[in-house]
Amino acid sequence: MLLIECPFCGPRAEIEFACGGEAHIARPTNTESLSDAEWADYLFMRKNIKGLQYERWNHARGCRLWFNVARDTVTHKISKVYRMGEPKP
Amino acid sequence: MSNQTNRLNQGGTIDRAKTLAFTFDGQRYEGHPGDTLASALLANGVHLVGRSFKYHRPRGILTAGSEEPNALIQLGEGARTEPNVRATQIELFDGLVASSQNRWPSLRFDIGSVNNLLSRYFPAGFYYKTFMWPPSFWMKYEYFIRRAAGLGKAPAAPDPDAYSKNFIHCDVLIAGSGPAGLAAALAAGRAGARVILMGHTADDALEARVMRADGGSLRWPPSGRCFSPT
Amino acid sequence: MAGVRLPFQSHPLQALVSEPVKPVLDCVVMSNAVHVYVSQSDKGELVMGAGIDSYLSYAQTGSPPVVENLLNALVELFPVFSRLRVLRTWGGIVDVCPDASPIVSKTPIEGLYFNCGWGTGGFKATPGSGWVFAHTLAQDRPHKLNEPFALDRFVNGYLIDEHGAAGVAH
Repeated sequence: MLLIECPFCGPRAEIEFACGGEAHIARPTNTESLSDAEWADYLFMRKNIKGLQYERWNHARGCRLWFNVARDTVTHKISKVYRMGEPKP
Repeated sequence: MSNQTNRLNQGGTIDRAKTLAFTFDGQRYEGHPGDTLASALLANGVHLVGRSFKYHRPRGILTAGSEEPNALIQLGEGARTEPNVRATQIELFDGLVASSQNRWPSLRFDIGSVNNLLSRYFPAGFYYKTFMWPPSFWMKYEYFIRRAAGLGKAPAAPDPDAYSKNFIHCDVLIAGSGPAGLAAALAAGRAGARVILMGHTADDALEARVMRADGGSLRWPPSGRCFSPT
Repeated sequence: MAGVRLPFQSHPLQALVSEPVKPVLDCVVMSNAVHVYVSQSDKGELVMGAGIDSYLSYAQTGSPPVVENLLNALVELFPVFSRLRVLRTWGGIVDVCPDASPIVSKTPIEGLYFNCGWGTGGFKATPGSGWVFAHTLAQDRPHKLNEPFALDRFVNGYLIDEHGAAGVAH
């Protein structure tokens, strides 16, 4: 059971959260001029890293705010929790 | 002491002043508080307690704890029955009902022991789905294979008991309250960690062992809690 | 390696077995209502699963709340199994596509073909997928059956949504 430190509420059990997938993917601002392949790239293609990954999490059963987590996908060790909008550590 | 032919007159941690009655495979025996089902059976001269999984070889009690591989018992009856419980881990209580597993029609005379005669054709790692010819006969073979496999029987009625759940967090979780676990708990506790020590012995026995482990100088911490095994 | 980007996310699909008991369940039972599937092996163990962790993991274990939900579902379906013990739990890493359908297709690179992304639905499809994949390799074009499962469906939008297939991660 992961213990995730929500930046707003403190450490909580993983069942209070929902994982939002890979972080730091900016939605393109010029969507009408993108090709199908570029749009598919934004929508679907993900890095799926074995190792340190940066992801977004939502405290779905708590404050319901989003934040970022740097987590190892093999050991599940969370090395950093940082707020939405902050740069990658 | 009735028929407890192997019972010593003194020693051990049982209370010889009280007697508990229990039944094993329909036969009534007597034991004492502090006995496990295994120790009570041994005291009564009962050595044959089960049959091996595949070859149905006769099996007796091998160990004194959770490492027991042979004495797997069907505990209780009806909706509260539990299969595959180790006799060395069952604390004897008055009115305990237990039976041996994986034998038919009886423990002494088990038809399944014919597998032992054919054991050279059913080696270790033998694959149950070998009986594939003719293909249409697989369903017939499977009928018997399924019944030969498995050990105890699942209850046939819904569980009448209710269970409580605890959420606790700790810095160090120690599985096992033997000498190594106790030493680890003491070391971690003294280093300031929040420790959970999990074992399958009852409260007072564990507390006594913790005290003895430290030469009697350790105080059971006021925040320490003991969860007795179910 | 070959420069082709794939839309997978790898999750641990969890499964567990109970202690071996005499025959008590004669078929596979899958429930969408309570999200579990269970059957009894010939060795007597109840084999069950359906729980998948929602976050990425390569750890091959998965986390306890998923197992707990699975067991809650099992006991709701079969109250008689409540007193049986769990013997072993594990998780297999499954690669899940955004539409939960596999990719069985040619790629932009000549001579490179993909048969992957089966996610939670792999085992049952092996004979069929092997057959159409062999066709794809031999004829350098997909069989009618695996035509829709092309890699470029994520670009042209013809996704095949199988998230609800059988109603349970199978």
